[in-house]
Amino acid sequence: MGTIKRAFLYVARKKGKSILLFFILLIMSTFVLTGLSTQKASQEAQKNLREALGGEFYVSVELSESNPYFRRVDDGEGALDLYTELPVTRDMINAIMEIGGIEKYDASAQTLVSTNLTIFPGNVPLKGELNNKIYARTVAGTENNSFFQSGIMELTEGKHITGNESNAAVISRDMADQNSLQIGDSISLQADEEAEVRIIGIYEIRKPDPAYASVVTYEKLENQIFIDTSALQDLFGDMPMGFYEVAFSVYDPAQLDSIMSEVKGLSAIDWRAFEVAADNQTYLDAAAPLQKLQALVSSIIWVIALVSAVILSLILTMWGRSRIHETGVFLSLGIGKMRIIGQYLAEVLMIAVIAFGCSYFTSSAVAGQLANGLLQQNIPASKEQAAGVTITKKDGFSEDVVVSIKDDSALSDMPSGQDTAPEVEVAADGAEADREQIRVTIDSYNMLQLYLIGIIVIILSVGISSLSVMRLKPREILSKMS
Amino acid sequence: MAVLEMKGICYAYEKGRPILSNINTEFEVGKMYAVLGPSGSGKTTMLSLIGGLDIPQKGEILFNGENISQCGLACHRRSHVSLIFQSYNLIDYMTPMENVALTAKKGVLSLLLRLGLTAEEAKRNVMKLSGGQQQRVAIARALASDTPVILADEPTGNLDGDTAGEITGILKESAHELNKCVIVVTHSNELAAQADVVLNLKRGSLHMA
Repeated sequence: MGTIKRAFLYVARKKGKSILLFFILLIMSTFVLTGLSTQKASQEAQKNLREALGGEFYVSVELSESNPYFRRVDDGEGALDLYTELPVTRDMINAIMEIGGIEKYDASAQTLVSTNLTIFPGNVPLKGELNNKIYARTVAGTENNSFFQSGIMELTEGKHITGNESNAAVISRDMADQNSLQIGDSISLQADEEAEVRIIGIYEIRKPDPAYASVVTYEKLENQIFIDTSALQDLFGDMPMGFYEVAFSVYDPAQLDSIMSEVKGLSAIDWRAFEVAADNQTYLDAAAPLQKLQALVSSIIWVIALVSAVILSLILTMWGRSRIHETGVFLSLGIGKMRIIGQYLAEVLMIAVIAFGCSYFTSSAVAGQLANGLLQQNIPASKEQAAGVTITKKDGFSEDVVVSIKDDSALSDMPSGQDTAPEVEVAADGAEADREQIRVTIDSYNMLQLYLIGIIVIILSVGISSLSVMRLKPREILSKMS
Repeated sequence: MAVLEMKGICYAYEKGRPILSNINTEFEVGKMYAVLGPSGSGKTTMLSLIGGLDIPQKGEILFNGENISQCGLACHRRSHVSLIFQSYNLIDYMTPMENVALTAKKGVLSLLLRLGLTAEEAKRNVMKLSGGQQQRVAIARALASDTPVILADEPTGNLDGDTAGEITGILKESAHELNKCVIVVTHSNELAAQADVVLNLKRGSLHMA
């Protein structure tokens, strides 16, 4: 009679033990499968969060003596002019953008210019000429500029600056109306030299920002004029043209470090003149509860697997002692020790196959509840979060724990000077529409993982439980029998 | 020709107190041997050594002229010898047919019927049979394995007189008609009287009765 048939007969005839073992394995596999599915859900949620929040890194000019292109000019009257002969050029930006994983970039530099236009006075007074100056914001493109990305400004007429124009400008609707300007008209700006720029687009202020409520004249949103780099060149003549800082957005903040390493490896850029800095704090803060949950679940899976192996070993050892008679008989019939262990292993595996299959249903029932509970444990009770990220814990538990982003538009680049990060909400509420949920589902991969872990635990347990009997000589076993 | 041979076998559980000392004997097929001796004389130890359940401390056991350790003890137990115990040693979750099928693939039911079980008894749980019936199942399992040597340790020890007589008859028949070498360890003079050769084990030495 073969090993499998003997195992089948034992499982079928020893119903009490088989049912008990079935329930033990069902409970163990339910915990393991719940852990595996929760871990996967947590990973999915983190991935969604990463994609939603993105991450940024900045390439900026190193304004220190270590930069060989850094210049310090003292006018002899106490004023210092600090500048670099090598700013971030469009060629450098293009080289960086060729690296995979970078979604977009934003480069801008503001310059105080004089104009003959009628401008809007600020409500913070300044001395002298500064009251008549405005910011000319040199951009690589207006579409990705933080003002437009954040929704504070919206282009309502004409087109964006894309970097392919020459002496182009985008002005506010208020300024256009105030000065009877329209698309195609030219305006004059003056810095070191005078430059003529042609209006190609008009924006409107959609979301007045409180940060710009009390400002000087040149910071008033209505006074902002966006120009391309060729216009800047005209304004400053011989000055090297480029940006002092460029922000690059990446699709996945988890890849930020590797992308930055690639950027730093670009030989076309003289890195003595620049520094690269990361900004993925928003993502890190928002993802922290999920990361804690994942770490916790990973630990739980290991502990469950270990405890399962110990419990199963103890139970099988106890049962193995009661089967010493059977073992002795098999040995006396010339059945080898490995075949006998094989039978005991096959018995447990037969029951395990059914128990693991049934755990799909039990785990489906408990996984959602458990994930909610664990995540709630990891959500800070306070609304105060680092870097302006707010994680809200709502009252009560529900079926799904959600990680939601309150304002999608706020996820884009923040305007310079703005300190508030987008609000990210982790809530246990099922009402809002724009959210990423931690949905704990069990798939075939989880089942495969369960079977692998389960089989390893069972093999270990059967091996350990068989040691005490199998190390004896057949005669010792037979004498124990009698 | 001897199917089994014990050459210079020595065995001791405690140093200086041998239970078997320099045993030399041969066993042939077609004969039933009875080994008599008082309790603790080493009868079961001798049977264990012949059956490959233990290893002698000195000497060798030959099967058809070859040391049994050559093919391995598990191989020896599987292919050369079959064991019958006083307590039957059947697998409790199997039927008689399944117990016999542990060592044979076919002819299981006819063997059980020949040994006196009914077809219904052959399919019942083995623990629901009487002691005599269980011993018949154990003998059937030994015969089904088709090994030339059958080793029986007090096979009638738990049985009443009539049943013991029947079992003794089956063992004798197995030796004479199936050409087996049957070696029975027993206290029973009745059983020994049926044997072709009776051996006495006393103070570690084996003597022909």
